[in-house]
Amino acid sequence: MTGTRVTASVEFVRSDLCLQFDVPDVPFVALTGPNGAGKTSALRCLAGLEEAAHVTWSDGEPKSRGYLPQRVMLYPAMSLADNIASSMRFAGLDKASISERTAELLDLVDIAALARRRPHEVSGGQRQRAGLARAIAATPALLLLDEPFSAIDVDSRARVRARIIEHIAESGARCVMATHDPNDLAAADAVSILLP
Amino acid sequence: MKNRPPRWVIAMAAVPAIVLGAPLFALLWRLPWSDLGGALTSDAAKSALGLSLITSVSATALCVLFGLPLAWMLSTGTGVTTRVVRALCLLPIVLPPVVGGVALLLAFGRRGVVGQWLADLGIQLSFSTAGVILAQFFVALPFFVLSVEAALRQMDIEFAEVAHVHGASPTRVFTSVTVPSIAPAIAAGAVLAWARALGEFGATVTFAGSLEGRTQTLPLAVFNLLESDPADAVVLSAVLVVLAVAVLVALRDRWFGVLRSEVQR
Amino acid sequence: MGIVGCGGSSASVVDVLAASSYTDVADELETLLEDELGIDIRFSFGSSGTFLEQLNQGAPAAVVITANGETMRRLESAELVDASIAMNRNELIIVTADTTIGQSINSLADLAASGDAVTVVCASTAPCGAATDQLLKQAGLTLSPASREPNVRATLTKVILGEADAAIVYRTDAQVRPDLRFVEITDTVDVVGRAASVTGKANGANIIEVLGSAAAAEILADAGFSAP
Repeated sequence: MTGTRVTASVEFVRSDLCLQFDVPDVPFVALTGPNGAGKTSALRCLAGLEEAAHVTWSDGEPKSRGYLPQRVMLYPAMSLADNIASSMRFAGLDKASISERTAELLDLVDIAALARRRPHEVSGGQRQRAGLARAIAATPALLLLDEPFSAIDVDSRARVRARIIEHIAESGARCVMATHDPNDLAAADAVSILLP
Repeated sequence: MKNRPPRWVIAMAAVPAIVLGAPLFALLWRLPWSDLGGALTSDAAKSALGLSLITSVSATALCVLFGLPLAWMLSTGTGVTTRVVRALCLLPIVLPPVVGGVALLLAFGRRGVVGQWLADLGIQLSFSTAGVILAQFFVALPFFVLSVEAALRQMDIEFAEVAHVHGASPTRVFTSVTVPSIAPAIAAGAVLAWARALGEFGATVTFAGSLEGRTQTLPLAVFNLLESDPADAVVLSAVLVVLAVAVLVALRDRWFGVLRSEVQR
Repeated sequence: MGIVGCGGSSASVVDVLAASSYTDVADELETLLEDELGIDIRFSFGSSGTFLEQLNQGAPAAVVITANGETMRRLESAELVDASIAMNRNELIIVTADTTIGQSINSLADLAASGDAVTVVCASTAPCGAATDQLLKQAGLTLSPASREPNVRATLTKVILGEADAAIVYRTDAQVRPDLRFVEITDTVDVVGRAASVTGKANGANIIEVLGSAAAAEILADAGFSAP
């Protein structure tokens, strides 16, 4: 399991939920547990989206974050390429780097041919790939992924997973992934189980 | 089971269709086609048309510029201030236009609450083209704000949340994510506001007066023509109608096209 | 459009369509007509220029009173009214607000020459406006009004509200507001108000008879209308 070292400690109380867990200090943490246990809420707390949550960071708050929610939420008025570029634009990167990296990422998740399409024009799996690319685009210090491969067809899942994990390793980011998929759990450095 | 409405529904729907369609049909039917050229190229007609276009477009631009922040505020607020401001926004819809004109005079006229300070600075809004734009802005703003606020409330906040986590400031979220997502509603609101501004009469004639080339917009020109040359009045009226219908038809697909595809997600 | 017969038989309320300059004498004329004829009279007002179209579209007036002869002539040519009688004479006058600019105007020439004054007059299609245009032409002067209002009362209102420094209206309208400053116009233009019965309307002729009587003339004279 894990050592005593912890990246973050989360406490979040709501009318229907009582969450208390520690994020182990390893690069890739998988969060699992039955539905309703609070996996999504846990990620939202780490993303800073829950005002009522108490989050204690061992090394200070992460300087940047990447986020892929369960519903993906690609911006409907932008093309897939622009969606991927958005996180870089918000991070303040320069135009040249952005367009170079966008092309790289489109290839990484195998949707280069769909670059100019809008989210409503592509399949769920393709949207999720774009969402993944968007989340990792600005090489954030903390990557939060909520069931990130669920819509991708089973055959391609392994390839995409491998590429993402490689990227995490290269960038030195921390990743917390909420998932049901045993393959994801197997690839993680540590697994946290949330119980309701 | 086919989704066709029952006969009584169709019969009832025919009533408003006729009430709305008959005047339009009659206008085009009774158009004095032989006089068309003369009526449309008269100095009064050309200046009224030009003035109407300039003022209505300016008023609409102001509605969009100030209406977007206002709609944003209204869509996120829940307190008493929000409710008061929203009521204020909707007031021009409920006020008869002439009453609106009187209110504008009391506020921005030469002796008005705000107007007297402007007068000291040498600015007089009544009887000016700027006054026309103000009157049109006053009556048209609610249409824009209503359309946009509704769309903002309907928007899924998770879009804004993702952008926020990725480091976008609230303003950046609004301009990069929110506004593009509600573009159809913004366009619809702007067109509604423009149409209302174009047709505005009561508040304009009361507050800004009526002078060819400066404040006599198309509706005022039509009103004037009714006294001297009703046939010309019909021609100018038809111009207004054709303008309005043309824009509605041109933009209709744009709105519905995007809306339909949103739903398909 | 009047709705005839609210709560009574359809013949009980008789409509009279009058130019807006008659607004303030209407009450007394109404009383006179009701006493003499024993019928219920209702006055409605507007710009004489609109009467042609209104009658064409079937406005329910039995009698029409116009502010000038020209508009009555048009109604007579269109055979909408029977022969008209002259009611009164009215003449143009300048009214000014109590502002410094207003007080600097002492003649038509002053008005035309003043660059600062905000002046309003009637639209050319209204009798008052037509008369104003004629007046300026006769005097060889040009005016740049800030607005040409749809009828003479709207013109006067702008000065009352303080939005305009000066206006050209009828004497009778100016007299309604003694708090305003009047400036006489030498060689002013006058208009003759005329009344006529609308063709085919029952009470029309009777009403015209009363309007042409000495009693009516007295009411008009008291209000500042001169004899025709």
